[in-house]
Amino acid sequence: MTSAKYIDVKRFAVHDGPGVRTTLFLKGCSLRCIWCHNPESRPMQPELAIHYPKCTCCGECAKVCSCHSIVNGVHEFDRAACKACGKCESACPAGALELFGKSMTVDEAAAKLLEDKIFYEDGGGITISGGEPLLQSGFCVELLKKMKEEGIHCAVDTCGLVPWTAFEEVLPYTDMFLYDFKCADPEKHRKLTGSRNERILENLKKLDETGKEIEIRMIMVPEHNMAESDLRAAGEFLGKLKHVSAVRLLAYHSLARSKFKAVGHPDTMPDVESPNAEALERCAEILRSYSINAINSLK
Amino acid sequence: MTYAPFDEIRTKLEKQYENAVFSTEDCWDEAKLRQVWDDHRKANPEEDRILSRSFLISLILEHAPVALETFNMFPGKFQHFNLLTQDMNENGWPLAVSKVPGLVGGAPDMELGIGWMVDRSHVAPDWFNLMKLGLPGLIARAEKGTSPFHKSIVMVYKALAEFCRRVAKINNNPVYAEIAEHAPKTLHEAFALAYVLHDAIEFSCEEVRTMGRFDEIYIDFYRKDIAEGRLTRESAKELIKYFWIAFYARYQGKRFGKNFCFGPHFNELSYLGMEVYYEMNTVDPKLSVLVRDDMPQDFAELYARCIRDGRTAIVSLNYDVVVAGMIRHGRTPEDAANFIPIGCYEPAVLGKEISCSGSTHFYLPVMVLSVLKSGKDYATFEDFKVAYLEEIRRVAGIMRERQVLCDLAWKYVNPVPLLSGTFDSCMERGRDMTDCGAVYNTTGCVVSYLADAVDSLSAIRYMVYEKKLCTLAELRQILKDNWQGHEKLRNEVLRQPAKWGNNDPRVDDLAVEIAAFTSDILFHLPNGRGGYFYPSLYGQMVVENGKKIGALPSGRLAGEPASKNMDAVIGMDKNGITALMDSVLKVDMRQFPCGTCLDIMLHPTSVRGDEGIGILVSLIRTFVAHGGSGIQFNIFDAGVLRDAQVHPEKYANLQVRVCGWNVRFTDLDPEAQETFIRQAEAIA
Repeated sequence: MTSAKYIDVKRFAVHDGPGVRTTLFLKGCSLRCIWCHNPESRPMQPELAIHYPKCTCCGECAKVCSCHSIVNGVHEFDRAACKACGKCESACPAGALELFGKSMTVDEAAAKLLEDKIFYEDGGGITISGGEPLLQSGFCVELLKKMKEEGIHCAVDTCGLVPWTAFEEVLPYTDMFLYDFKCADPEKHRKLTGSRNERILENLKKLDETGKEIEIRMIMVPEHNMAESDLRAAGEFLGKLKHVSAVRLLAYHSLARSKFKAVGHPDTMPDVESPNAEALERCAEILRSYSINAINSLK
Repeated sequence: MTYAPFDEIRTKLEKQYENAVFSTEDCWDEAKLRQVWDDHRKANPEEDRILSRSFLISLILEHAPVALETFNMFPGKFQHFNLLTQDMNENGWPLAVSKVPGLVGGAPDMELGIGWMVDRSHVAPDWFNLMKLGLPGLIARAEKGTSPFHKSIVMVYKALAEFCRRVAKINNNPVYAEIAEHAPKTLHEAFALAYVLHDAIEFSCEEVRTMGRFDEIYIDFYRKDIAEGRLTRESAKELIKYFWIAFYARYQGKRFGKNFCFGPHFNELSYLGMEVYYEMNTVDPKLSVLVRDDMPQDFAELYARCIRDGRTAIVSLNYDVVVAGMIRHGRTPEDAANFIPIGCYEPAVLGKEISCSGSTHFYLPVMVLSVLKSGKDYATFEDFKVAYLEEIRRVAGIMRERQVLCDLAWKYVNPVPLLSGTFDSCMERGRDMTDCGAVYNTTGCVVSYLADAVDSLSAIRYMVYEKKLCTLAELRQILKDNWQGHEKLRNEVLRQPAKWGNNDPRVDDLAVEIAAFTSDILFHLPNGRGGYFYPSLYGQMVVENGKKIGALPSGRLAGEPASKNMDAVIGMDKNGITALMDSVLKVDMRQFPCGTCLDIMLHPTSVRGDEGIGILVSLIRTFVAHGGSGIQFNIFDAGVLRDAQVHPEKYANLQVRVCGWNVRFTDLDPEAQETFIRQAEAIA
């Protein structure tokens, strides 16, 4: 049975497509956005998160694994030696340790998603997100097939940086794509996300030609991708697509900063304020001038 | 007559009770009223309780000072000088004690986990009869009988008609003159009649807990007024606002709220009423919406918009499930179809049922403690559970014995002729509704704090039987110590065993079993008024009663708030609201026909915009489609609540759904505020 590495299953997800949904977040991402809201999803391999505010330094983890030690009342962790076995997670009485990247079979995932089936009947459904879910497209296909057999609306939330073949695989079983759009300029894109965007834009054009419903999602980060020139370039590109039902503008926030520390990644989160509704509205207005149905998520 | 626009006079209307100015014309002062009443008592020492009560009610309605309030579309205040309450306390209760040996009242017994009382706070008249017959019709019907009961009815309605004439005269208000002489013909007359009867009943010490199905009762008056040009849609809205604000004015949003019911037969007045409700933005009145799957989507969106935007004093009740439960409990299908919620969620047949839905309380976690305290050892968890269920059976029996006496006492304490006269069956039988005059004389039993009970059982199974972390004897000591010195174990118990509200069959199955068992016992338990106990499943007064409940095996510390309604223990529903709803939907709500309710707390970002309205409608419809009964919402951001604690002046309109009613957040005591904040933080 095919399985996937995942980080979370979020029930009552109301921001990942229409209606009441359950979203499965898979692990592994092909981008490294500096503002990443889910840094625990980036590497494909499992990794342990330490939620320091919850840690009571009781030392139970150190009893089951030598990677942990409590030194002078401080929790120390040898990440390089960690095999991600998960023993410490079960031992922690405070819920401060969390292993991201556990495996889940298609059947397990399907059972989890079907728990809330009754809520999908009124215009909701399921969403596979990440990370970049299409890095595990084989798993996605099998899971989506099962969901379609149950008559459930399926969405895939992608950053687009995957081989086109991955899209081809899931296309027959996906009702809607949530497609991230960070910025139009390839070099700027590389600076912000670690990769240029030619393939992302190419895939988006191809996807548009298939006629599938696409909702574009733009995280708006002040001082990074909210300049008028950024928005005009985005509008120029997106305005030409035919099957984009909406471009949803989402507000950057730095709530995920503690997660960088938890999983031991260097904190790259921009030190800027979260944009307010008015700021998003200015961006939305620019996009609307390109005949785009721009949605301000703060309104 | 012309009246000021509602928005201009709202503040004044909100203080219509507090600032009432009473006329000194055509009335008696307090001394005279007391003298006449004393003389009457002395001259008639052996008088029938209902006759003497009716004499006093009539005395006040006919002679007490009436308020001058020409600015108000709905005048009708009188000075009662506390005479009615005094009579109940000084004459009614002693009479009851002498007639019903062994009668015990007072606070709930928290050792046993039960409460019982003479419930004077869950009644409603037959609103349709009132509108159809009017006061003269009710009087004429009662004059056909000759019993003391019939005489009482004639007396009080004649007095109420006279009161209307006095109000009309003093306030130069022709509407009140009309309703004294015939059944109401216009919407204004209909509202005025409902209002004066409501207040007269309430001041005679019974709480009218619902004004009935608003859209159904008043639609014909509304249509006729519109057709004949007396009202426009806009002027009707003004009329409704003047009417509704009177109920707010009475308690200033600090009591249980006055219920107005909408549906299930929605009409143009349902839409108009909901629009008014949005515009008024008030904690009181509160609304119940009777939902079926054919509820029009635009109406659903209209009231979901109220909820989204903080007008959360609205409970949605599943019409079909309520009706099915009532039939199962012995109502005919025709009668069950005519239910109204008399109380927060408690359905009773309009004009045919007196359910006294708040009479008895049954606190499920206390019985877990009782089994532990018994000191017996149980070899398996199954044995422990059986002992728990047996304790439920035993305590239910004790509760019944105590409540039966209260049931018998009611007619001596406080007969209610003003209300009974609207009931067909009371008139046919010649009996007051406090004396089994209704067709269905049921006694509510509120089964409470389910989550605390099942989480405790789940914890016992985990600690004592599965992981063997402690024995029952050790657990007894741990609870005695209020978990002090056992922090590590408590931490584990709070995290590890299955908890209610996560769609986890290990604990949900327990809840389903306990619910079914308890319901079955209560269904077959006869009360003292010729009916049966009538179970509901919800928990209120969670802060107050929580203080009286000791530490629990679930890890809850002594005195912490108990779990509300069908909700999870705060912070224990870790899989979100859909999982919570999945758990709740496993309980067959028809086993609790006297009402159940689930609270859903949402962060404002979950329900933003038009999409948010869609989400709310979707949640309500899904809950109803899958057998849920009552559901209500709070839309909170923990940060906003914290700010409201510090700057109450900025949040005058911030409402919270407490249990089956709303108050302003800033009116809550700090402890209750903290409970809501903890819950809001748990969803953030």
